[in-house]
Amino acid sequence: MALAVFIFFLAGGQYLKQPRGEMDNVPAYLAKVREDVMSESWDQAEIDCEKLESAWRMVIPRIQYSVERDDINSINRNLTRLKGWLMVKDKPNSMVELQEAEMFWNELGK
Amino acid sequence: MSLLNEALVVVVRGVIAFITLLIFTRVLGKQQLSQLTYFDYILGITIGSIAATMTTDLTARAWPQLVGLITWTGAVFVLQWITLKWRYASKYIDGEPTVVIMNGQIMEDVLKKMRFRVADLLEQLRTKGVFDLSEVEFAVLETNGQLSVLKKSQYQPVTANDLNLPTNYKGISSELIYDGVVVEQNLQQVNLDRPWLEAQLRKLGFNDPSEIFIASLNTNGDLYIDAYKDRVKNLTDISDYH
Repeated sequence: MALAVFIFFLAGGQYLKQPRGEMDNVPAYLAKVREDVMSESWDQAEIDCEKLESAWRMVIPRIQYSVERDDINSINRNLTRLKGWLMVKDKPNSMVELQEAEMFWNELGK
Repeated sequence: MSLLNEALVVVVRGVIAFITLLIFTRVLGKQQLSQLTYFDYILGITIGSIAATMTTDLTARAWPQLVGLITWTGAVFVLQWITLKWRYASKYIDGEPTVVIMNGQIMEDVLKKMRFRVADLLEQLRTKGVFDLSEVEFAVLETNGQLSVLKKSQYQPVTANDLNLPTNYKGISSELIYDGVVVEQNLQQVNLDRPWLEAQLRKLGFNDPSEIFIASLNTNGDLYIDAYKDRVKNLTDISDYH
């Protein structure tokens, strides 16, 4: 019984990262920021990026036991750099960061 | 990730690794440390090392490490099962006891083959209380690295059987009080009860079982009692430092 709980806890990254509501829906916010960047709505992109970061912060406590710390740090880095690129309204680099963050997100817990 | 979160992850992973190891060691049975072969010893170190990595290496996911832990424990379990069921496998995996002294003669080639020095042999003999090689008839190096020694008959201690002396049965003693608490189950097993025990304690000057550190009853019916308050007047101090 104890082993089954441990296995779920340590191998359940894929399940645990799934959104529990609107507030922690990381993939949805990633998509929103991408749309904002594509349409060059920079102010909205910054607002959505804050929401994205807040959603990500809500997910971390759930997944921190089952995923690599380096993966968490990588997404943290992507989001920090993304904020910088949005500030200077740099479309290509913003897209690169979003793409990379999405790749890390998809690989998280696999 | 903050330092606090890192510490929390380490604590949680540590608790999981600790309980997992505890479960696995129970599964693997009660093989005593002194009976472990060299290979068992290495297996133990490997499993412990995986558990340690699982606790502190946050750069890797814990799941593959748990799988590693399960795999190694599973391998040990399978190995134990094979050696239990298949004697040839047991001989191959655990090795066989080797005679290193036969009829008083040291088997030099065997020692060389096993990379076992004469100094090691003498040391092991000394730990068995043998300081004179001429006393040894047979010495066998067991698979766990321990030396079993059979002394020549003229150097073996005389037993009651040699002298045709009658002896009484001697079994395992039962603990009746442990750390100030009466062990009711053991009392029942020896067909005695609490009033009897309390009467015995009163005879020896004790008012309550809570004054007793340990009390045990041997098969001859003798009660051994050790109280918390020691009554030794002149303590022997074996320490060289003050």
